[in-house]
Amino acid sequence: MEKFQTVCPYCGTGCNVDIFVENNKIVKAEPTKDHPVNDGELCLKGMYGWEYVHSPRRLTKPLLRKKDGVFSKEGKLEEVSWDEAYKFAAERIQSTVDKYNPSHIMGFSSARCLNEDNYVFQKFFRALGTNNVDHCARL
Amino acid sequence: MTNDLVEFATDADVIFCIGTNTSECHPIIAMQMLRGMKRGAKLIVIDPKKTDMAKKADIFLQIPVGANIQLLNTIMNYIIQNDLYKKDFVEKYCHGFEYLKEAIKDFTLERLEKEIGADPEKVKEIAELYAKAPASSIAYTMGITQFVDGTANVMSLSNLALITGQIGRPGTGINPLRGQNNVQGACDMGALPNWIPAGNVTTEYAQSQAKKVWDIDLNPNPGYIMTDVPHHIEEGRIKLLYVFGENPAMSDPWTEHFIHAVRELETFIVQDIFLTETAQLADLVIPAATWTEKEGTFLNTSRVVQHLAKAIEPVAGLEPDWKVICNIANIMRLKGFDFAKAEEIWNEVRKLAPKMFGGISYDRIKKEQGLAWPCPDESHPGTPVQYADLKSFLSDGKFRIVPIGHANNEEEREAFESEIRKKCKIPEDYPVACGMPSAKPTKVYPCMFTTGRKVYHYHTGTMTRECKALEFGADIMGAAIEISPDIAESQGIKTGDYAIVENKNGKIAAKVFVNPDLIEGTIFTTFHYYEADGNKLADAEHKDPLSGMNPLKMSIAGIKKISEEEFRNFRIKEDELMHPSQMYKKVKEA
Repeated sequence: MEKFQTVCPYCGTGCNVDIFVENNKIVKAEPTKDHPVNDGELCLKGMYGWEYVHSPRRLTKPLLRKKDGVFSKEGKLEEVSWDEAYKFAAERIQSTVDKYNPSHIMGFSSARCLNEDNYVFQKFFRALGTNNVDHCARL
Repeated sequence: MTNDLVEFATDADVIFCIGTNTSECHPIIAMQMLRGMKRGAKLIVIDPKKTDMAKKADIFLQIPVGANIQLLNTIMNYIIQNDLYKKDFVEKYCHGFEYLKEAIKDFTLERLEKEIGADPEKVKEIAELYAKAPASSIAYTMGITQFVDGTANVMSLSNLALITGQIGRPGTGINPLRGQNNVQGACDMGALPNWIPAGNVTTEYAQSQAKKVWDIDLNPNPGYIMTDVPHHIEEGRIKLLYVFGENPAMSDPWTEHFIHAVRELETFIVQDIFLTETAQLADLVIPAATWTEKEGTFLNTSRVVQHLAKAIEPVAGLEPDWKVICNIANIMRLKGFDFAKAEEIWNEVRKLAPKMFGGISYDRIKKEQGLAWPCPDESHPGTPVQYADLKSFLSDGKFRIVPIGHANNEEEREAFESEIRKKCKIPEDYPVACGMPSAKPTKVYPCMFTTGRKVYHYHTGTMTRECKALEFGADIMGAAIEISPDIAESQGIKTGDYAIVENKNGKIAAKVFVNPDLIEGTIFTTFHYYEADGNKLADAEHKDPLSGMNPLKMSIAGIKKISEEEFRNFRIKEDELMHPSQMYKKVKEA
């Protein structure tokens, strides 16, 4: 069993959690001992809130709304390849910027994700010429 | 937070909690506060709900939803009139004390008792305890911010700390307990329409740093704020929306407005780990890796940058969110998105905002168990206590005390603010603010309606409802409508009955729990359950003028008892509305 030190993904306290892994599966979580933030304690979510990582309901493939094999607002979500998904995203973002202007695109970033995720996301919008990026902490 | 959360345990003599249900929402911070109490600290709790912490407090004052400014102004007026304020601190380090003194002189104990029924003796005791203690610390959450006068509420707390000099030392300060693991980080990283890590987009420094580090001519015009987005979509000003790691179809106020608006987008992209209620509305859904499947950093409520190790290989070879975004940027041939690992991204942040993060390396945070910004160089120890030099971030280094009035409604805001300005002879370039209720019960909607969290679940439940121990744990009620005993009596509703709660924004139905801890005339529910999501009824029309925050804590609603059959039919329709995707039905069975 291997141990990895991480930070709880729920509230803003920032409790440190030791995750124990066996065969690429999390088997338990324990509070990091003597850590200044949580000093060997965790709440229910910190202790048991990791199971979702292994949920069979996790998304594993991109989905695109399609009707008769092509993108359509009236279609249904269908599994597509990563190539198709990435190409669709890049083309639609570019064509919206070209057809209107950069202020016609908007991004909602995430207070649940890494600093690094948030940084790259906002940089992406700024690189496209707009400051239209905000996130759930507004509320 | 201006201070570190551990100081509740180690340094604070008085802990002043207002608008925070700390033991439900931040259990480990509550633990640190209780450790402080064991050491001898006094706990003050002010809330419309008699929370767990309220039951443990030395003083608990139950106030109506949205009465913060009336109370805080009264406390401050008492402190000033009784010479409990710190004269030397105010004179040397602050502007605006005289303005405040004049603006709040009519907020007497008698008036407060008349208006909100607060016991004058208790209010006096709170004022004296807070002002006289060597170190008093303010803690607050959404019971302060989620109002049309949320920023005025926060400024009131800042006024209180300033006039008593309760800032800049361990165990003092103004401490918002952040609700999400990386609220602080998302803001500091520039996921805001007016901010990049180097500062406000309108400033020369941010502009020059963007040019130097990114080679980008930064757009100097702030972008749209989130709460205006449904309206901008409807008006055709936004054609493409890209959402990651967020579930606004459940978390936005007046959820139906958001759900309706996104149908008008030309392109809606959602990146998430589950097929959430929001993802089901998307044109393109992109899966991403979760926590423990990626390395990186979070910034906690104490401004501490902490390291997360990657513990497992991601399912199906998924990539972290940042990598997905880089992949799209690279197809679009944008420059500056060739990061190979998270640490390279963090090192770019350090270059862009050196005064804040220059000294915070991955090596150091792993070794030193995190570092608080500002930390400008590798020999700097970090800054757990802000303002220790008693200087503000403003150009003259002085703190501003902002006079705040209280009006009867939003329409009176402007007139009221200019009246305060005139009455107190305040120059035009000095800030003033005003508090007011955004909703008052009516004949049709006679109850106050407010929302909050439970300890077992987190926000819209995307993650926690996938954890059996949390979803099916012992004493969890599931989706429920909590009502104060007076409503139960007048409507003839008992615990275990079913009821429908409704206002002009929407309706929810669930099992009722009569909760004696709620202040009279109040209905409470959570936003954890799609089955009965409190945000459906939240007011999206009124906004705080500075932050754009909607008053999620303050709506009005009516309630009526329904039969079990009516409830069952309602629930089936609700499920169909929130989960329109065929794919979801397949996934759910997995």
